[in-house]
Amino acid sequence: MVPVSLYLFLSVVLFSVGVVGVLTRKNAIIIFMSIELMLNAVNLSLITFSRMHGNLDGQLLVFFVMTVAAAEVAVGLAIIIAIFKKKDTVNVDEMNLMKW
Amino acid sequence: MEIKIPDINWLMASPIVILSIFGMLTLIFGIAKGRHTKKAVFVALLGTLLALVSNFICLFEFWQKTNSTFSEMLTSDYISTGFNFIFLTVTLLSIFVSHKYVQDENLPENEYYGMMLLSAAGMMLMASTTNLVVVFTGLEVMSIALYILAGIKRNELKSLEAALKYFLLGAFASGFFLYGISMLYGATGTLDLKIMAEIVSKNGTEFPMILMVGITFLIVGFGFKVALAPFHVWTPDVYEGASSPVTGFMSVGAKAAGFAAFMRVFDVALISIKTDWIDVLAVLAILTMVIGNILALQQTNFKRLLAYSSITHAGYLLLGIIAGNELSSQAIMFYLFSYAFMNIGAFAIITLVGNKNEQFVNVTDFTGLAKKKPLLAFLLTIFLFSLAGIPPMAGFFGKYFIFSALIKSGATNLAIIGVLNAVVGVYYYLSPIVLVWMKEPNEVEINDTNPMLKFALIISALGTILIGIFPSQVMSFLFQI
Repeated sequence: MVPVSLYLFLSVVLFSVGVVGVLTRKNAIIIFMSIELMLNAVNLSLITFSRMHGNLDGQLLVFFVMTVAAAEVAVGLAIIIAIFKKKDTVNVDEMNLMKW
Repeated sequence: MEIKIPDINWLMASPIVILSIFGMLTLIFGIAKGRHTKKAVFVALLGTLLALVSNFICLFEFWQKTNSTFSEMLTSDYISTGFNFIFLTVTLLSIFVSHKYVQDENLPENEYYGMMLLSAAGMMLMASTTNLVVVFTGLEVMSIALYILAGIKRNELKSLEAALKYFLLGAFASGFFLYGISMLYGATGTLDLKIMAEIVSKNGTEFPMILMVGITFLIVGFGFKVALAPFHVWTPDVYEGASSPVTGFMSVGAKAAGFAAFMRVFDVALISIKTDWIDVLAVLAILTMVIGNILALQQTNFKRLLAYSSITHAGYLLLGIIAGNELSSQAIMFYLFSYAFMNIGAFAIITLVGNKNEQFVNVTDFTGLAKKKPLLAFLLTIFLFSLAGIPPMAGFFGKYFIFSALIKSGATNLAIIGVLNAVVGVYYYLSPIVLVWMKEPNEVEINDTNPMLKFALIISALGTILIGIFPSQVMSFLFQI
């Protein structure tokens, strides 16, 4: 049997890949994909903990996370499309109308 | 297998249920009557008022004892009813402030009010639960609706840019928040905050690293949502780009909801290991207050000025979380209640002076307002005085209660730093007031034929002053003490 710590390790690796993706990439779609990766890394860890503790709370939360992620995709892509129509780019570096 | 359906107390859930149903009705109403119907606002108004009434009933039904329903998923106590009052007041005032603005800018009325109501329902969900599943769901319901509201002017690049920034950073923060929840669950094996509190206090200091990492992630997630430095970078851009009434709504609503959940997690579930997280929060609070104050000094855009002011206010509120005693939860609620009136009032004036397309939102556009519209100038002065915390306005007592809770908990040093920051903050609130009263008027024209907004202004001003004059009565009403 694969030990619990390996699943958690994979979850940490996936989450870190997601965070690095958000911080370094410039394309809004790819940033968005990285965020989805982070959420799914969390799902993996939740299921692992759920299995470890032997209760279903964690798996329940995973369903909520998936639903919320779907809703977020709908709204997020709509915003990105609206901005692409206006600006012909989804590069976040060019979103610089407002600066402090 | 027989499935037992738990007893459900619908009265307890009624404010949230009513608001959600009416939010959806508002959306459907627009489909039935066309997207630009002028009547959707009344559906939204009716829903908010009904929710307010049902929250009153909840307050008298459930005060002083904690009740829960839906298998412990939903809680009704003085914190939830008090916060629901804040959210409903904010929604009501925002609808009044938005009414003419939405018509002038030709925004889809049903979507605007529908999203506002659904977002408020999400905020209420966040405040009336002790379960992390529901906290997360409420947070996302609120945030997703706010992303849409921020970008509702979809022909304007500024608004879209605000929406994109808010969305990307908000979703990023949700990831951290969720990982924090997951680690707390991993350490304790439960998602219920009350059970978590028992487990944490029983095991004392024997917890693995994972709990500490989880707490750190939760702080990052909450920090983004309530705009604590150094996670505040999105705030000024989003506040500037979104429409003024929306900014007023989300500055108060999202902050109040964030702090409600913050309070439940840290001052309920994790209070027994307070020594482990208090230093981190203290550093964040100091950083937030100082950065908010310093950056506010050099702003020329009024909305950005208020954005940095709201960051500073988040710092004061965080001091309340750090105090973590009975007094502090009441102080935080009192602070947010008064903040709702003064901040929405300030944004209402910006909406009014900003005129079409928000062309006049710079601080200099307010020059000489007193000569043109003395009453408006007077109201703006009230709101800014209150934000600065000058007695006898409501904002003063909000700060007073927070600092006294802090001193009671023994963190006198932090209270002193907080007071010093409040004193520095007065400067940038006073500089627009000087412009308004002491300078000759400019040629900015103010079109103030806007009865709904004026009504909201009067309510906000009355709220700001009356709360300031009768703070103890407001406290005893909110908490039945």
